[in-house]
Amino acid sequence: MTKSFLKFVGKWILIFIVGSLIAFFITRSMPGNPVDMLLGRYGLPKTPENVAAIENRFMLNEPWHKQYMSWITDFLKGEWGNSYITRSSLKPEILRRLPISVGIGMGGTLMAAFLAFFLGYGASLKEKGLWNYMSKGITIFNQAVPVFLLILVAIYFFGVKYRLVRFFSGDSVVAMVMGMIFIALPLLAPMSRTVRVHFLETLEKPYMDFYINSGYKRNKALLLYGSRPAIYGLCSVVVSRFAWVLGGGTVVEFALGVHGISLFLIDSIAQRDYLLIQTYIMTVIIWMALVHFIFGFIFERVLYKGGME
Amino acid sequence: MKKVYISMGIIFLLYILTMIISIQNPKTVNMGSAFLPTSHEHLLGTDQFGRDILSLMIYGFNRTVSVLLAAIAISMIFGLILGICSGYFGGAVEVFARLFSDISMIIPSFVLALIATAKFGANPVTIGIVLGVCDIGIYSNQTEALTKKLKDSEYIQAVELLCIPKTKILLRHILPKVVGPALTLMGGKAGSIVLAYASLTFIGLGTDTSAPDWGTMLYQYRTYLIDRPILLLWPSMGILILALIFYYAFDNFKMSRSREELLYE
Amino acid sequence: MNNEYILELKDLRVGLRSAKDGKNIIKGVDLQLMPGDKLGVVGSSGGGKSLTFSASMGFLDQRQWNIQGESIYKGQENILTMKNEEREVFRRKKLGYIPQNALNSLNPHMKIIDQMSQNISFCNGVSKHEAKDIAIDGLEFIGIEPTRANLNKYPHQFSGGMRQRTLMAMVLAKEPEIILADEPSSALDVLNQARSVELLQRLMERYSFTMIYISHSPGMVRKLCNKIIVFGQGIVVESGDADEVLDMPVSTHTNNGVKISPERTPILQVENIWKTFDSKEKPVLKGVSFTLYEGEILGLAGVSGCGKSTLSRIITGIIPMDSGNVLFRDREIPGIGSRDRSLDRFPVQMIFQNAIASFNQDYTIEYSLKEACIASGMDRENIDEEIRSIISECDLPIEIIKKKPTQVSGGQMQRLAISRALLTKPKVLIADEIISALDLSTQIKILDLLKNLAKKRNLSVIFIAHDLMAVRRVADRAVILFEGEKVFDQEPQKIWSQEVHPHVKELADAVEKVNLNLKNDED
Repeated sequence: MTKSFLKFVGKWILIFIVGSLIAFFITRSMPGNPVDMLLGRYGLPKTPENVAAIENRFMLNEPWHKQYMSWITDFLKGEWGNSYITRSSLKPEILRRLPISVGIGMGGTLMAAFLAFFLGYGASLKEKGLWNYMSKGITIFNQAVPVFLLILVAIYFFGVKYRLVRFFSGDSVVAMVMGMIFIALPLLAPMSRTVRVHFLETLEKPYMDFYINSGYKRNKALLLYGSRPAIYGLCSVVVSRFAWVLGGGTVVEFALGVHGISLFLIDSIAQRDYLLIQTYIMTVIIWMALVHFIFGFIFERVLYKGGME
Repeated sequence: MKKVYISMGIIFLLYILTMIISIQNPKTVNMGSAFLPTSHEHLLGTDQFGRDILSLMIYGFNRTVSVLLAAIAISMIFGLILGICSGYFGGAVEVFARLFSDISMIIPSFVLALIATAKFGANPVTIGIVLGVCDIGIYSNQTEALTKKLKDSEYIQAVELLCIPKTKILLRHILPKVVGPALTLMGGKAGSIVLAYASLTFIGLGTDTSAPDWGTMLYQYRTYLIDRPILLLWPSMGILILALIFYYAFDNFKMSRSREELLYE
Repeated sequence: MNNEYILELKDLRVGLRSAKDGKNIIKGVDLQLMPGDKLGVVGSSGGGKSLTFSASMGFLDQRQWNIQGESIYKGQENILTMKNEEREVFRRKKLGYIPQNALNSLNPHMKIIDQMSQNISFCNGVSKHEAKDIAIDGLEFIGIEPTRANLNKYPHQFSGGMRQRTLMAMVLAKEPEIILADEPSSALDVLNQARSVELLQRLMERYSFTMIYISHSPGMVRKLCNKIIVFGQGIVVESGDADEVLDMPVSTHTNNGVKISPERTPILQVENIWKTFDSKEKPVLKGVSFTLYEGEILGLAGVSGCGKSTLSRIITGIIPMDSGNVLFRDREIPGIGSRDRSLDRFPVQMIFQNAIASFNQDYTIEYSLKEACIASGMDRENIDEEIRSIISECDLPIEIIKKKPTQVSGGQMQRLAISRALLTKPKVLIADEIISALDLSTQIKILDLLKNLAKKRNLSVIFIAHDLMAVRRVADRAVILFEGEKVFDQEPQKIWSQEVHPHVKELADAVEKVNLNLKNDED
């Protein structure tokens, strides 16, 4: 047990290191000269002394590995730097928006999972049944229609034409709920197909035959006694989607104007404030590690206690 | 299989054609001819800047297919090679493959592509490469798992016992069996690549707004959703049809392989 | 309608709706069973035994299967035309079905006690509490102590034999009027087969029921049944009382005695093999050693889990051993994938249990055979001729190589596997349970073929099986493993002598129970 724990920690430390290197190099390679930008922001003329002062202040003339070490140690200490532009600390901004992204991501995923379970179950019962057609239909729809288009249409119908929902009023609850819905929609279909596949597999197992031959009703027995594999399957999809929560919600945040961390990234890039990129990638990696640890590592031991292979 | 050849053939043909021929320069802005209805000069009419919509559509098609080609080529080829080698040989190759796929699946591909557009502009080949590299992990994971399973199967053991050379085993006994599921995966992913590219250009970081893609078109026309919805119809249809063609072309594989594909999502 | 019969089949015919020629697989079966009868159903595979009775109990999906005729229960209802409600009641209360796949018929996600109680409560209509008591009784009846530990176990924590009997207990706990047992023990080894038979016999003393027992082992049928029908090609070819029909002596070949020739050269030496798989604590092999001499056929036997398959895979280098030596003519056999491994230096080949799975099913058999020839360094010009001659030696038509493995029967595929192995001109052949999946008559043919080929080419063979009768038929010497250790290493007849390891005695007794009495043909 401890052996796999060490392996887990080791793997993630490696990922952390590689990821941070990638983040660092990406940010450094972005276009634009930070010196000029900073001079501009501070309103300083471009004199050699000022340039030298800026370079010293921000360690811009050091070799890259020194800059990297200084950044990564700061990061681990919890100092996430200041925005080139606003000069205010990035950290509170990030921490403020993180829960929003995580909230709509996890909320949406759970919503989708709940609905997908029943949709998938229904779809597995009859090849040519209503539920299967619905699930197939939604799948195809998802494959072909981008979420932002759906959001545009939703805004048009519910927001403008019929005025049911006030989309950009700044009401964060509305925004969160809408965010969850649009995160859930694309997930509903593939999750339901996964559930369906697991139920179909279960139906072919000898123990289901045994239930039927002992006089049980097929559909009832499947739901009551044969759900475990489908639930396990669904759970692992849910867990892997949880990890995607940051980053996966980018388009939704953009289209709905939800003030999450991904929209923050987009805005920052648009304003050439590239420093955030580093921190964003690191945040994503840490989040993933957390999710994988809590769900992947711990849950797996709990859930598989009774199950078989 | 037939529909795969036909549909992919058509798309490829159109792709080559659109690179050679161009009808009208999509960048021509002529404010005087804004919002023209369909005519034989402008088969799909013009937009708010007076640009010919058909040209815009063709341009967008070409760029989208470029992204697809780049992404699919990279992720499938490297994914298959990596997966087969790591599944069959194990050891260091496997460790490397696992690490690579873990990292590539952790770093959000969309955001990475977003950042790439900020840096290189909305260059389809670059975006295609980024999306492709990030997907290598998915293909190699599935291929590795399948290869491992095959390795335990009796016919591989028999063939190893007969001292048939390794390259032959990999090429003739393992590769044919993993290509099918990889194609299924590809068929499913193709749609999402089309959508991802549209979303990237919708968000529009680093795009050249005078040479718009389907996504940028949707962004630029979004304010006309109420008054002139038909403007949004064309790029939407383009995305829809292209994504669906891939979905249906590889549907055959899908139905029989759905179990494996979905488990490796 | 005759009220006396508990089950009556009238001109039962079964065919696939999708069959292009419209021919029926079951071509008209008539049968009358009195209450309390124990009917044994025998016949070779494909003869129609399972299909007939699955159809008669209404298990077949009538959208896929075309079923004609009648299956009348207690002179009143035709099972085939029952409505869903009635059918569910019939299955719940009146019928006890023990499927072929009994080992896997338990719900893997529920504890044994829970699913037993649930099933009993559902079928008998009793409360959960009462059902649990009945379940505990049932477990005791089959010899499983109702300790806390046992009750909380999941199916995968029970051995195959125990799962089999647990399922039987579950079915029998509802005291059904009619029991249909479809080859319930064919997947088990001899010891467990004997236990299953014993269980049924004890049950018969407890209460009266009708039973239909399908099996391909005439011996078991004789122990349990008073009436027998024999199936062949979709119809009943013989029927009557058990004693009359089953008057077949089993001719057990004594082997030609071990030819202890003065120069018995060892060709394969297995020394002190140890192997543990990580997840299990107990070693699978505990220092097993034996020698294979040139030209002899060695039978390697033992119950499931004794380690024989693991040993065969270690010998061929498919899996690595923890410690020990495997020497071919005093040279070590390197594992698969190692550079030293070649057909010239280590001509050891293996034939697998599932012949079809041991070929790549996407290619024709010809392709696979040619591939083997090329790998063994044969000249291109000779390949066709070699293939031709081996195919005919194995008693197969040459056209068969143009087919793909799935188009060929199990018995033929096994011969093709043997021919493929022989193409590489091996010195040692390891046959890993190659006949277990085949029916009796095919088994005998393959055994004889193997023996002939081995003698002709002076091959040394390790014949792995759990069926001691087969070992006796074909082997010059037998090695028996028990829990990873060797407990017997002599001529096969000695298995039934007095001075043997207790486990060997157990096996020998079980074989007698399950089969007819051995009659030695003094050749």
